[in-house]
Amino acid sequence: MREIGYFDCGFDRLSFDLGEALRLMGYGDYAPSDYVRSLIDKILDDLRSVVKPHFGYVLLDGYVKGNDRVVVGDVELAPGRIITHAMKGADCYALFTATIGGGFDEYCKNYKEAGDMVGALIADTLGSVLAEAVVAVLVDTLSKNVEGRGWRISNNYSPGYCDWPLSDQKRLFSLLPADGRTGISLTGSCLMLPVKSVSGIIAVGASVKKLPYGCAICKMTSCIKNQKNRKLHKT
Amino acid sequence: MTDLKELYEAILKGNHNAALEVTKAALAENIQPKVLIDDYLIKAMEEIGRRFEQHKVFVPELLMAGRAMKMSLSLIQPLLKGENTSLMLGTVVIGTVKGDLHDIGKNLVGSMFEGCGFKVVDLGVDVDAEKFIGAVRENNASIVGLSALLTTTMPYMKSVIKALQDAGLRDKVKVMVGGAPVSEGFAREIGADGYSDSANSAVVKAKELLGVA
Repeated sequence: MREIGYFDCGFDRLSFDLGEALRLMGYGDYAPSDYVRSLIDKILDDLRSVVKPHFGYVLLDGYVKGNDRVVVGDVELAPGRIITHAMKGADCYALFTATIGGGFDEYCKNYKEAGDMVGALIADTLGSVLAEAVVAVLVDTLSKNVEGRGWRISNNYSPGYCDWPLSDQKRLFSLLPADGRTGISLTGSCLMLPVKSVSGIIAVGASVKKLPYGCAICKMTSCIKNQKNRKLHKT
Repeated sequence: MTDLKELYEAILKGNHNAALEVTKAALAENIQPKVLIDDYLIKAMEEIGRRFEQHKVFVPELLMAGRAMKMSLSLIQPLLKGENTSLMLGTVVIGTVKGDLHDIGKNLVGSMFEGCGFKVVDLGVDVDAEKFIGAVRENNASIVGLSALLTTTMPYMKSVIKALQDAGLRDKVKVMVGGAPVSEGFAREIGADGYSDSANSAVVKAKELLGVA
């Protein structure tokens, strides 16, 4: 099996989570000043014409191997125990990418070059939240596209989270179309460009269950999600 | 006559236009640059740091204060003529290590260092060990700040520390590390002198390491 679907969508389809953006900036339950709020509104408005959501997936056969590995196509991934557990019972796997596009990187560069660190910080944060919003559209699209076959989908998991080493990006990308359809390139250090891009895996199948994320039990200190939970109010 | 409390307030509120105006007015009245720096600018930055630690202000407000401080300083510094002020804390060479292009966190830290009286030499992103060593030598730096956001690039911090040792510079400079995947334990493991998880605490740690806290 090898089914490929890549899509564009408009900015308006993204569900922007302001609460998450404020949390990432350290505000938690506090409200930002009127000035900061006006900057957020201004930058978000700018981003309407800058962000070009693009996402897609490749559906491939695969199977769980042992407690911490998943073989997809002919590639063995090492997502660790927590993610592997969530991959059980799949009929196939979706390897996905989602990005808000390279225009965003250029937009942020302008703030940095002007030395406007407040603007750069807010833009960067909104970019992260919007990238997650593109993933949400991808998940919704995938879910609808496979439900006709009686399949359900798991949560989405990415290299760098839980126990999945970031270095596995290279193996994951080897399973994606190499014809530029993803709109994303991978550097030698496994950094995706455009910067606000997400890749990962989703289990698909009739017996797949959506298990809660395991952040509460994960001990991976280098995980950004974990750090984020521990470092409210910090940079 | 200029009310210098307005300068303190302008920095605290991150109002860079007001900070510029009050600084201009104060200098026109021949108020000593050293007084402006030691009694108002540095004190305002110390207060904003305290409020940040108490969760009364947040990263954007911290940055706005740093920007206001920097703009005020741009008028004052040319007039210092070698005067000894609280601004002579040391030189920080800072950069995101080789293979990593993330710079927001590094820029925040650099901005806070500048706002708190350090000279900052920002090498940018994707910086190799040789470039760090060259900058440390050239600027007689007292601190090197290494940033990484990827688990694949953070091991390079150890390579930079090793290169500093090989170049005979390790005893002359304190090494600080930071970035989302970096921890206190990792910092110890690679032989760094300091770790911090926020821009404000990085400044506090640097002062502690240099004995100027």
